[in-house]
Amino acid sequence: MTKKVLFVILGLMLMVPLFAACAAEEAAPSAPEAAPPVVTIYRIIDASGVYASINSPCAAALPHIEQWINDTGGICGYEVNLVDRDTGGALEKAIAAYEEFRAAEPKPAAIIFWETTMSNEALRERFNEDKIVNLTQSTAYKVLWPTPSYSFGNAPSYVDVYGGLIDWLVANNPAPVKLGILTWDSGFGKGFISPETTAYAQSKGVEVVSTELYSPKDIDVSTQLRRLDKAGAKFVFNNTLGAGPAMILQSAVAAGLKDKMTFIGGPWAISDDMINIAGAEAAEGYMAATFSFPWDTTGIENVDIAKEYALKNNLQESFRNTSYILTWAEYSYFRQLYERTVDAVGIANLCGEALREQVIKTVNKPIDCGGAYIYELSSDRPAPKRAHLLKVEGGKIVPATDFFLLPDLSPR
Amino acid sequence: MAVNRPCGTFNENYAKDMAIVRTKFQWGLVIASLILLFALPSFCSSLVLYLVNLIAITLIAVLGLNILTGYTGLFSLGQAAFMGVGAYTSALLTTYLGFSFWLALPCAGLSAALVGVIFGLPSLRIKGFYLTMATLAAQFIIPWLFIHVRPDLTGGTDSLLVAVPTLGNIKFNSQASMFYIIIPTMLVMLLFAKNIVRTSVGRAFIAIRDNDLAAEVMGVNLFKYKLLAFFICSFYAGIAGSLWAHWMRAILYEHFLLMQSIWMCGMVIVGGMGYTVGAVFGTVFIRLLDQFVVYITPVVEALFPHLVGSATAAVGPFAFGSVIVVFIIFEPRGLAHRWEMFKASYRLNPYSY
Repeated sequence: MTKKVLFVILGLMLMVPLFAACAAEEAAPSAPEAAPPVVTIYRIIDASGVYASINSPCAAALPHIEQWINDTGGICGYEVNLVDRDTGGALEKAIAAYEEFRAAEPKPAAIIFWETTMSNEALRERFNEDKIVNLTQSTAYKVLWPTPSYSFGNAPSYVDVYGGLIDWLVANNPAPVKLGILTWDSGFGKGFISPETTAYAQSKGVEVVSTELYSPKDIDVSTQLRRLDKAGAKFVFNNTLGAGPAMILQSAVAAGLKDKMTFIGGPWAISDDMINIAGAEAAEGYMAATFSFPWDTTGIENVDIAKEYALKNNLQESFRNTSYILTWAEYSYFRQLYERTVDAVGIANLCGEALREQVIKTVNKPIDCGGAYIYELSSDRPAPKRAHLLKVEGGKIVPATDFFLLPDLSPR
Repeated sequence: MAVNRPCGTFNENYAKDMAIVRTKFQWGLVIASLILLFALPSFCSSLVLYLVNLIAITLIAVLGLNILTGYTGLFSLGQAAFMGVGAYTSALLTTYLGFSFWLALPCAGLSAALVGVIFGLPSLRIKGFYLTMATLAAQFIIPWLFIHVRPDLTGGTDSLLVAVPTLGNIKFNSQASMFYIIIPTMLVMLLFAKNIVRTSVGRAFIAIRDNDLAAEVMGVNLFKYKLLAFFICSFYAGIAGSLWAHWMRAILYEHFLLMQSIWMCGMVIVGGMGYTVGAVFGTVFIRLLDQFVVYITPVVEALFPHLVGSATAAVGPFAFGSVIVVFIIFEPRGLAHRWEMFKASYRLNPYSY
């Protein structure tokens, strides 16, 4: 092989990517003419990591929801494509997925981000810089605040839910209410602890007797429970999910404290999966303030549609639960949000800024998700403000209260 | 394996004998590759750049591990923890003491190196399995320290947000801009790793790996060189950690756990222990495999819907474990050995030129 040939090859090596880049640039303008616009909604989700227990049904719901949206006219008549990327809860994979979606054409107006609090915190600034709305499940105060930002909660914020539970405890129990906290030692687990929530508990006369932490990997928390018992706690609050509350309930049974205390949890702390892990007996009487409905609910339009599509698509038995129903409610919200944005600015101008404006407008113009939930922000609260209590009764999740307004405990 | 020089290439002086890049063709390749590499941000998507950055940072840590394990024969399961030391050092220095990233970067390397030396101290007395256990201790102790010592500064079990590097008015807050920090750093570290094993220090490392008793008899100071190997290995990890922190913009102890160390050991094994180019092959191979798993998982889920969730989480570890087993059985000397064989056969082929 002569040197000349080698240098020709080298030259070609350099030229090929150059041509490819130019070709890509030239091809771009003709693309919109060829294909009718499709609204692509991206979601990054931990469906196989720490949150697999509650997120797997959410992943399974996606093709059914896509089918429903397109069956019922898409978004303002445009076909909808729902794209999912499972990260297993790994931050580097969440960033990879974010980079992939961010670079998509057209640039996404929003990314539905059902990831860990850690990933949310890490990506918060990127969402702001790229002007992409982060529709997140993680409503820890470090994720949602400071405002203004591009991160908005799909669920009530952890601080508000905690405040709502304090209101309920005070209204339904004789004073003094002695509350113990037993939660995960993580950003998510401690996401409700803020100066505002501490002050709010004090102002309502709730005495937080002790705060105990545990790791998601722990298999027994009876030591922490005994410490709470010794401190006089009558109610024990956790902000965990899946095996988290189950571990508390099992340990309470083992330590003989189950009947001495009432166990309550945050927005993700009640699920059918949790009952399966804890066992129906241990889970009996457990309550959590959340915004989803149990599978058995009837007479709510959005829930009925969800169940219809689940049956039509032979959804496996273990996924017929609150997580599946909740995914439908949230996508109903996303759909209406996109519809409002397209109505306001047109499909060609669908972008993060325009969509963010519509999210903020829910302050005065709430979005009703077919009876399953109402999305309505307050002026300084980037998350919805209603919750109801669900309770475990006879091994099943049942509503314990109607939806009520949560106090606004946004950081001041 | 015999070293076959390209046809017509002779070592006429010591400079030629020592050269890494020997022929005009090789120079051409190097220059073209560098041009191509540095032009990547102009035509690659941010996902590709993200992958390149991820590979480059991992490669720096793996290069360090390769010096310790591949060249010196000291097995370590603490590389991720040392990387964590670098990451937290850099994050704390920039966040609380106002250091610029450019100063925090070498400090991160040095702090990790010092911690590495401390955990390398037992290497004089113990080796093999027992040394592995000693480095495993680092992997448990260091993340514990991140959580429990001054959690008000480190964030404890919360993440610690890290500022993006700046240079004048330039903010390195995108994959493309970080690429121009990460890649040059990686290239410098790669060159250093390639060179160090060609020096007397590198020969001492290899002598210790092959037979530490014989090395000592020949006058190699075991204590000094074993600790030096730990120092260099951990320095690499610290640099990688610093880059990781400023690239991710947030760090948590969970990024630096045992599993990450095992992944790095896997990269050294797959690439080929004791080959600098092996670290490159191993890192690229495993990282791309990891990314491939992300895309293959939905296919697996579509084929087996009842596996959605926890079961599909096994696809990644399954693929990784299988690759390690396959390499250990069929190619224990790794991809680098295959590369050497390919080069040798190419050069011996009469129609190559």
